Amino acid sequence: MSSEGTERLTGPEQDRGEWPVGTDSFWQPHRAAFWLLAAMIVNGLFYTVNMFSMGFRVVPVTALLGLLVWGIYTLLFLLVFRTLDLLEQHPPEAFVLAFAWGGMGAVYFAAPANIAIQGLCAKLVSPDFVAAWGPAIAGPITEEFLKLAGVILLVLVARNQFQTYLSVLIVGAMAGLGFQVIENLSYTVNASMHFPLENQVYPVLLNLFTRGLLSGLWSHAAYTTIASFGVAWFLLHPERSKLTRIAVAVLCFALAWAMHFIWNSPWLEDLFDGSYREMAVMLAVKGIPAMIAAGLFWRVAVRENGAYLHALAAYFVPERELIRDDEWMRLGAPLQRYKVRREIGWTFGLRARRLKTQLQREQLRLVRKAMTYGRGAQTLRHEVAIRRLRTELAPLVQARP
Amino acid sequence: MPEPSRRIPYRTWPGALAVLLAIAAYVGGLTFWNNHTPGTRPLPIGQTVSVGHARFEPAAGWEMDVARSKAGRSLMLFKGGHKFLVSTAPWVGGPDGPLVRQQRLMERGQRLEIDGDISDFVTSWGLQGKTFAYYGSKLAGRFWQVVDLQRKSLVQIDFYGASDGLNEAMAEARSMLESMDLEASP
Repeated sequence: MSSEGTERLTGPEQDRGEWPVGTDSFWQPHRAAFWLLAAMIVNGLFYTVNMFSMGFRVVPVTALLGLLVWGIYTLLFLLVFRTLDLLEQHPPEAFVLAFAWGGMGAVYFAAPANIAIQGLCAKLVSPDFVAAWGPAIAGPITEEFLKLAGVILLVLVARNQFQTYLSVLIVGAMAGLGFQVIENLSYTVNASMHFPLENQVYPVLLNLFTRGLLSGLWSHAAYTTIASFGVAWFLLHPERSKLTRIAVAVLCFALAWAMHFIWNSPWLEDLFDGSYREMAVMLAVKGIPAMIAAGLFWRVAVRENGAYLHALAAYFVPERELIRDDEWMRLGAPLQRYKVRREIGWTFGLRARRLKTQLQREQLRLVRKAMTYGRGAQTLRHEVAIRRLRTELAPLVQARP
Repeated sequence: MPEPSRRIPYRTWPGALAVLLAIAAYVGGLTFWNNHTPGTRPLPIGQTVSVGHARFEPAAGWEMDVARSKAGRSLMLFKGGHKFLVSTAPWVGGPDGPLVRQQRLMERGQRLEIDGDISDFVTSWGLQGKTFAYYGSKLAGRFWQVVDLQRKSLVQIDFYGASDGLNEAMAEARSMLESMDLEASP
């Protein structure tokens, strides 16, 4: 619909009523941001494929097993996001683009920048300094900047898809996850190519344990979540001065950078010996603050999203047979919705749980679509689905006391 | 009163251009700066240098590549188009350590050809291990590996470079290897 260079580029001050109702898709061939995003992802894809082709030739077992293991790891994260209904925030292509940006676009540019910073540190200070502080100096600034650039491009591609903090945060988390997974896969293959034993399975298990299990929760997905909050705040508070909005965005970026810097730094390493148990304790001590910070940002975003959904549901979906009072209360509380599903599953069986899950998701889709298009033909499918699911669910939950 | 969202047109090229320029300036600027910052360090003649357990005397004219050396793990020396890389790591098993994997990395990963068979070598200091030669379209080289079971230490020495002046450089690489022992404290 909207295109660059059109005569109607007058911005939001134009009477809103003149423009068609709806949200932009993430397929925007008329927008420069879309093509920049796509070009950088494709460029990164070639680089990544080229890099892994060497791994496949030298350590084929590691490469295949690594792909499998880190693929499953990604799916576990996606499962958590889905369980919390976070994937309802956008159509699937948004998450694919965010993940691909993190894993392909950002990784491609991160490699030379990190090498250059570490090279400069070695030349201007010393190789000893780089060995200790190189990862802390190079990684955070480069990687947080590049991951966030993808989030900004995605927001540019379809700005009106981002109505809440949560809608930006989940894209940031997905970009971070993409970076994390491809980086982990790359480390696994590289470690195997230089592993001191012929075994090709150990490097995968070792990296899964250290980078996946001990570090996974407080890694790139968490940092990019924090940095993305600044973008969300900038975007969703046009009533504040530009200086304030930029300051909040910079502050969030600085916080993400600081968390990443602490994680990459050698601090605390002297206090712990080299055993896996001690290493696990040290990683937890360094990583838990990042997880708590990311958790707080998620909490703020979920609350704001809840208030947003409540307001929309109250206005657009007043019918109680579509969203009952207790369901309305839980609209903005993904954990409570999950708890209800789980309790229904325990009490009334798996089918009841599945139906309740579908019902909750259809309600969310109804509210979001009503907000996008208003009630009418566009929302009818979801209204019918809700009524059908409720009819199917009712006998199951009434069968037992 | 909530209103349905509207598809209001807007320009993205200024924002996209700003992102592109920021990335180009950041990555390009750093790379340019790094490439134009000298990274060589002359080594004192007659004195030994060490990396991990390995200690040796650099030949005259060889300099240290600071950016490609990793403290305690590897030391890259170069002279003209020839490189002499000494890497150390803990030995964790196998009488020949990761020699087979090293060959596979060179053959399948770097598209190099192994020249002849793996052979044993012993230096005048009693350092012994395995060695093989290799070549590619633009370079040739020799790889030496020493496994010290007592110290559980692995030392790999990789010499390579362009064919021009290879024999002279190889003689100097051998002299550096001859001077090597594993008595350094890591």
